[in-house]
Amino acid sequence: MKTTTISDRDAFELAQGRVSARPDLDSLADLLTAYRIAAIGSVPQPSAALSARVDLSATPIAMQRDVITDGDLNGVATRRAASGLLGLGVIVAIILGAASGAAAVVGIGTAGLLPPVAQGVFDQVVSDSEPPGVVGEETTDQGEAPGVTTGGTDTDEATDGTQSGSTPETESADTGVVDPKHGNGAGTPGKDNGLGNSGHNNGVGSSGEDNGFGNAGDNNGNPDKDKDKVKDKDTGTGNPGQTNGVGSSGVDNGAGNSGESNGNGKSDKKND
Amino acid sequence: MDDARTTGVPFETVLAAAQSGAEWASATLWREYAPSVVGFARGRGSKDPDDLASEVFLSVFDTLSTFIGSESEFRSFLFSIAYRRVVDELRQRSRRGESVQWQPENDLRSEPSAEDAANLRSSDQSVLALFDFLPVDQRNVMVLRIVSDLTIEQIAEVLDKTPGAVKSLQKRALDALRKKVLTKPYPSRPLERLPV
Repeated sequence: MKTTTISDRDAFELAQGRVSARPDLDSLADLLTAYRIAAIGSVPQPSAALSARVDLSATPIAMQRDVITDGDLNGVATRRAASGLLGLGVIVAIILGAASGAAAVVGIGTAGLLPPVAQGVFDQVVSDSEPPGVVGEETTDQGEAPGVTTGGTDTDEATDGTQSGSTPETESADTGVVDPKHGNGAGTPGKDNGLGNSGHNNGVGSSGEDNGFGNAGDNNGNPDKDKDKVKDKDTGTGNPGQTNGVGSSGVDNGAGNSGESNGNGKSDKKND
Repeated sequence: MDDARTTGVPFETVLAAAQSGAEWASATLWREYAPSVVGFARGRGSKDPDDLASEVFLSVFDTLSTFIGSESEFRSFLFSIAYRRVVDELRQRSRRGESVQWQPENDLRSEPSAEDAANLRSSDQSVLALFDFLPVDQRNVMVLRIVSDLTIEQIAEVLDKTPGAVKSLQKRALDALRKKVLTKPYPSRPLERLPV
């Protein structure tokens, strides 16, 4: 078999893994390529001594590059700042990602675009976790017709109630006599007990806030506790018009339980 | 190669950062060049190429602050250290002798099975034995040329030879390899029948 010598150019191309215009060297080129692949593997595991000296898992990022390129390369402080910024960047990225995800869920839930089951859970969670300040604002907003008056008087009522709400008797007296609005807010029987207790809570000083959380409704759901008060409050409902205004707007709107609460408010009206 | 292969950061930036002690830059140098160093050590017969590469990079990081040069000069610098480490290891082994734990598949007194022989031929060990029949100088040149991807001039610097001598060694090695490849494992003519 006739063979020609390997020129410098052929040797160069063989080292690069290819040989043009030399079919007789193809097998040799393939063999050298296989040798290169077999010899060069992945990045090896560093020894313990090398790992102790250098953190070989560190990766360059653009932030580090900018800091090191622009800054003083010889300063220890620069290196520390670069590593600190790297760590901060990761943490900030995680926080931003979580916050944006949560914001998206809240936005969709607020818009009512979640599936029915998820929307129900969302509403429950939101109603349970709404801060009192927000509830108070909603109370004022929703109770525009009757509640505006109530919202304006809530503070005063709370103040009055705080002074007079130390004992049940005083509450009854307050509800019935001093401030018929609160007591009369519970003007309806049954559920009105809840509203009545909300009026009581207002008297204690938490006014719109307590109502907003609907705690008053739970307590008032116990007829044994509230019966007397209800009676007193009912008795105190001398002014049905004011009663309904305070009871419905303060309790219902604040609670945010739109359906039930509004029902209470309506029941007050019916009682009227 | 102006930029590091995987990071895209200019080599000068990586080198300057590594010289200032930035660990990300040292890690970049390790990721870029350690596989080639391991391949060179393996091709030259090191028993523990990974450990040798770690020793090489410890030496590199020790003396990196005094290094001045381009990327090609850094490769020459790196493989000069690797070459010296390999030579030291081979010299120590030849001086002390080599103790190898007995394993049945490595026992030369037993013939390998046909399956083992086939696996051996197709394995990386067989491919890596390609240069074993070459003289030491030619083997050094071929490994540095193929695995370490050094130029003739860089190899000459590493081996402390002239470029002409390196070019000659490379040519003789390639000729020997071609002859070996062209040697057919079967006779070109059918065997004559033996008289019965």
